[in-house]
Amino acid sequence: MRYGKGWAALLIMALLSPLGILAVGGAWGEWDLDTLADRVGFKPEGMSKMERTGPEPPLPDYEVPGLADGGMRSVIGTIISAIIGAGLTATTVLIAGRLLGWSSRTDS
Amino acid sequence: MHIPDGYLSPQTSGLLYIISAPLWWLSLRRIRSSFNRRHLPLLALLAAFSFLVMMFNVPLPGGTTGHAVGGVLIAVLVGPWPAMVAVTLALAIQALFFGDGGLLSLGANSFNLAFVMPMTGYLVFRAISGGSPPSSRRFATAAALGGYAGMNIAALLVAVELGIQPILHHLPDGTPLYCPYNLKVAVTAMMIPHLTVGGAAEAIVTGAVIAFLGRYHPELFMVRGRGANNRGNPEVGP
Repeated sequence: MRYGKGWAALLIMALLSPLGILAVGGAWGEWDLDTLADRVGFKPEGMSKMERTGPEPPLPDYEVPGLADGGMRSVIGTIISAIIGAGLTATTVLIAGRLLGWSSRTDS
Repeated sequence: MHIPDGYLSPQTSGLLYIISAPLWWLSLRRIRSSFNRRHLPLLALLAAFSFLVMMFNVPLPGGTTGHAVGGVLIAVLVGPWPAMVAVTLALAIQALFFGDGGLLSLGANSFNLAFVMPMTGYLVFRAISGGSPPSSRRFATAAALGGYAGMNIAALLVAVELGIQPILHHLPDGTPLYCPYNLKVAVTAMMIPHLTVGGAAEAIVTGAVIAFLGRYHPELFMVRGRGANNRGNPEVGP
C-alpha cells in the first residue's frame, strides 16, 4: 500500500481522537438553537426556520447512536466515527479523482 | 469554524456558494492540468488527515474550543488548489455524516476553510520560505507561520460573515433574524482565541509535520506540479 506509514499515522490519530472530546465547551458560533437561545435570550426567527435543513446526519457529533453514554462507550463511538469519517473522506477523494478522469492523465 | 445552518441568511449562504463554485472549478482544472495522477492517493491521505485533525478540539481562551484544520499543511505539500479539493471533501463528509457544519453553509465553510485558509497561509509560507530546502528550519518555520496566518485570516472571515448578519437581516425593531451577534462581538469572540491558542495549534501541527516530512521524507515535496514550484525542484514525481 502506498504511503503505508502515513495511513498508520492516521490510524493512530483515529485511536487518539477521543482526546479531542475532552475539551469542555463547544466552538463559538456553532451552538444549536436552544443553546444559542439560552445565551442571547431569544430564538432568532430566521434561524428557527432554517435549522436542520437536509437529512439527519447518521453519526451526529462524531458519536455512534447507542454508543453515546458520555463514558467508555462514547470513546469507542468516537473512534468508530473517526475511522468511518477518515475512510469516507479518503474514498471520496479517490472516487472524485477517477470520475474526473484525473487518473487517466498521463504523466508529463 | 464550521458554521451551522441558520447562522447565515439564505442570501449569504447562497452568495458564498456562488463565490465558491468557480473556485472549485478552478481547483479541479488546476489539479487536472498540473497534479501528477500518481499522487491521488497522497491527496486522499491528506484529506483524511484534515478530517481527523479537526476532531482534536483544544480549549480556547474564553471557554470555547477550536481545532487545527491542516489546510496550510496540505497546501505546503501539494499546493493550495489540491488543498481546496481535499479540505472541501472533508468538510462535506463532516456536514453530511456528522452534522458538523451545515449543508446550506457548506459554500461558506469551504470558502473560509478550504480556499482562504490554505491559499493565504500558503502565500505567507511562500513569502517567508524563499528558496529554502524542505529540510531546513526556515522552511518549517515558514510553514508554521503560514498556518498561524491562514487560521487567523479564516477566523476573521468567519467572524465578519457572522457579524454582518444582524446588519443585513433584522426585524423592523432591530431584532436579528440570523446570527444575533454583531461585528464587534463576533470579531472579539473569534480573534482573541484564534490569535492565541487556535493559531498556535495550526502553527504547531503545520510546522511539526513539515519539519518531520522535510527531514525524513523530502521526496514528498517533489509532488507539486508546475506553477507551484519555484524552488528548483524537479517537476517529476518519485
